[in-house]
Formats: sequence, structure tokens, C-alpha cells
Amino acid sequence: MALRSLQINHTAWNLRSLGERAVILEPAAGDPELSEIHTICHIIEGAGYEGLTDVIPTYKSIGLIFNEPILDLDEISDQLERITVKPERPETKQRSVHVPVCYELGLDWEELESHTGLEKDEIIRIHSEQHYTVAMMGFIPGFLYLQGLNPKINCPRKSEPRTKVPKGAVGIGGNQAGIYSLESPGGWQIIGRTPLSFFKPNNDPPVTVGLGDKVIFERISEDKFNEIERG
Amino acid sequence: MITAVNIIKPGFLTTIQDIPGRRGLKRFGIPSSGTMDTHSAELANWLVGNDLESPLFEITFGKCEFEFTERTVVGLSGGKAKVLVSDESVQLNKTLIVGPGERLKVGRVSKGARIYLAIGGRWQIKQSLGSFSTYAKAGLGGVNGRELMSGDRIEVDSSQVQESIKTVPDELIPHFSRQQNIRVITGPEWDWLRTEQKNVFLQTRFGISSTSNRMGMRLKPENNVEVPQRDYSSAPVVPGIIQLPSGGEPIILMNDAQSVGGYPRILKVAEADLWRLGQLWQGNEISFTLIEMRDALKLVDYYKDLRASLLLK
Repeated sequence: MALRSLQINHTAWNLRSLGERAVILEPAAGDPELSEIHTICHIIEGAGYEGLTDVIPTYKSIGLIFNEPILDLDEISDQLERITVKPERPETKQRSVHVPVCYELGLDWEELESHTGLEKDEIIRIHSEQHYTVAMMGFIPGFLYLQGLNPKINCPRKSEPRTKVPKGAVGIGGNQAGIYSLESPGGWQIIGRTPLSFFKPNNDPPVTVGLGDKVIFERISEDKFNEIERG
Repeated sequence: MITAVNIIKPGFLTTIQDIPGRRGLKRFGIPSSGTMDTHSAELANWLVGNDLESPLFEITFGKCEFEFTERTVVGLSGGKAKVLVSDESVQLNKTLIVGPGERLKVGRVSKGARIYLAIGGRWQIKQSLGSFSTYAKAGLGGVNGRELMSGDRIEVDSSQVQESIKTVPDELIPHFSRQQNIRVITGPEWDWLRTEQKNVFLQTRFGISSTSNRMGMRLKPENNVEVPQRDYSSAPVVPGIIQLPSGGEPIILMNDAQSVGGYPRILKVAEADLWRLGQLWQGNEISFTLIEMRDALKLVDYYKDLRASLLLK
């Protein structure tokens, strides 16, 4: 597969194709810091790159989608080097978001317990004492990928994804935590549900939390869940 | 003049879609949506003299009925189905003039899966987040962000429409065979498969699961495909990407798919063949042929030029 190397902030990155109109940008060696991914995304988004429609940050790479088919990877690589040479570091405001979770509405306790070797209460304690960072969105509108899961409660995704995961489901997928903002198919192990929604289609931007924001889970009862959901 | 289209029966699933759907919102996880079979959708819009990207009805499996309040120019293209105007059989892929008060019925789609119905003129509906395309999961586009229901009414300003009868050239009308070969290019994780696993994958015939939808097509391999297990963290995806979950049943991501996915991206359907998937359904079988990126890019140009040369006014 075609590969191009380029330098961003004195670090070597690789560029390779993801179909006719998209590329992936990833570090040539090792895993990037999440904050570095976020910074590069902000710089590229702020550069007014013509023909670039979407910048997608993920844990280990950045997806760039273009309007037209890509005939020459070199051209993109040169352009990216140019716009990141003297980047103005955009200021990022980080907020803390408190997210109530009803763990009684989890769907995969059996799998979670047998995989981690821990009991439900211990998993809940570990899950709710961590502070998480919003790493990316993208599985469905407003799906929040959260960094900061304690490795003790890592759990692989289901081998057969569910065709329906409820709105507000709080999940574990490998070493990531996450929140489903809408009902959707999905393969994460579901540990609980939040009555909050982070996707507001009539807002600009349509998602009410931002990359880099902190998320803190707070355990609530089923009664409390129903109360908040009813509004 | 304003024509109103009354939805008498919406059928199994009818939505409003446009081309190319939403752009620039993938970082929030908002998919592009838009027409699944863009080839047929463009033909339908061409028949009525609209811009090829205009919103139109995407009819899934058929069995629907529409009523027009005024004389209206309509065009149908896509899968095969019996279409009646005031109980008289009419042709697909040819401009139709429907009189005031007349009803247009689309029967069950017998070949392919989707039919596109274009109405000549400017549709009087609102965009949401930059597109008319319906994405029901998040309540975006179409009529109130949902699929059509009986009783819905769409107004179209037809004052600029010219009534010229056009016929789609035969060269552009696809054949809907039960078995199709789809061209693919390699995805970022293709080399996770050993040579032998790659060969098996490319020789395997896949059935299409009934749980497929506008988000993804789930495939059932005739023989189980062995999947290499490695750590993988969610990464960017685009429509056409073929994911291979550890269960061994591939998923082809379609228009309503996410922008980030958690399964290895082994292949991607060549853009020139992506629209064909919009006409496949349970009972069809597909297999894949691997081509080079440069050939995939040539195919994009080839079909673009072919359409442009055959669809001259």
C-alpha cells in the first residue's frame, strides 16, 4: 500500500490511503499522545485546506476526507507539512461533565465478570472512580469515546455485534469506555445507562461536549434514572 | 405553480435522500447519508430535468402509492417493479407526465432493492445540517427527520419545469443478477491476513443478511473466514469499507455508517461499484475482485465520462 512520510512538529508521520477520497495520518513509530492528535486536528481544521471536508480524530490516527478523488498522495503530504510548519496553537477550553449512570441497566454483566474476574460491585467502583477524557466521537452521532479506563476492567468487544443497543448505553470496548448517544447497533459490552443525551441536532455544534473535556461518572438508582429521563 | 405530492402508502421504507448527503460533520459522528444507489438516483433526476444532486424519494422494496395534485413531471429509475399510473402500466427509466389527481403506484421490487422517484421542480422542504437526506436515527432531514408516512405531503415548485420526454440510454441501465462480483481495493488492515487467508476471502461467496440496512451490509460467508486476532483501537472509516469482526462475518459500511469503526478495515469497495450494493438484498450473493487503486481511480473517471456523454440533453 502506498505510503508517504512527512514531518509534523519534528515527528515523523505516515500518510496512507483509505479509499479514493480519504487518507489516514498516523505516527511513523509508537502511539501518539491524545492531546497531540487533538492539536493537529485543530491546526488542520483551522487552515482552510481547500477540498478537505472532514477531519476525524481517533486514538492512533487522523482521518482526512476530501471532496475529490486523490490522484497524488505527495501533494497532500506537502500541503500538510506546509500548514503545520508554523502552527498557531489554538486555545482549547476543557470542561468537566458529570454523567449519571444506572449500572442496574447494564446488559453484559456476566461477560464483564467472567472476563475481568471481578464482581459487579468492584467493576462499578473501578468504573466510577476514574476520570475520563473525551478522545473522539464518531461511531454514531455524539458517541463519546473516553480515554482513561482502568486496565483491570478492560473487556473485548462482543464477537457478534448487537443489532440494537439502547440510547444512553455506557459501554466498554477493549481498553476504551464510551457512551451511545442514540439507539444503534454496536459491539461494546454494556455496563449501564445514562439518561443524558449529548447529541442536539438543532445546536451548532450539534454535540454538547467537546474533544478533551473531562467526564466523571456518578452512580444512580433505576428510580433516579427514570426521573431524569422523564425530565 | 406548486404541485403537492401526497403519500398515500409509504411502503416498507421510503425516505427523502439527496446527493452526496452531509459533509463536514464526521468528527461529531454524523454520517453522510444520501442515496444508496446514486447511479439510479441521478438517472431519475435527469429524467425530470432537475440537478442530478436534487432530493428525491428512495423507495425500498416498493409497495407504495403517491397522489399528485397538479400535472407533474416524474422519473423512476433503479430496481425492477410494476409501476401503474391510474391503473395503467408505465415504464421505468422514461419521463412520465402524471395528471392532476392521478395516483402512481409502485409494486413490489422484484429485481434489485430500491427505486428512485424524482419530481420535476424545487422541493419545498428544509435542509438539516446542510442536506435534505433523511437520517432517521438522529432525526435529520426529510420530513421531520423520519421515513415517510401515509398522510405526508411534499410541495414542489414546478414553475420552471419543462415537459420533455427523455429515455435513459440502455448502456446506463444496470442488470440485476442474483450473483454479483464487486471490485475492491485494499484497506489499511488487509495485510493482517496471511496470503492463504486473503485467497480464501477473495474466493468466498457471501450471502447478504436480512439485518443489513442503510448503515451496513452484513455478509454471510459460505465458508467461515478465519480472522487474525490483534489489538485494535477504533479508527477512521468511510462508506465502502469492509470490516472483519472476529466472528468472521464481514460488514460493508454504507451511507449511514459511522465515521469511526472498531473492526479491522480489510478492504474497501471501489467507489465505481459502491452504488451496486444499494440494489442488493437477502437472496443475492456477492464475491470480490481485488483491483489496484490506480484502476479504481480510472473507473471513477470512466463512469463519470460515460454518464456525461450519454446524458447530453
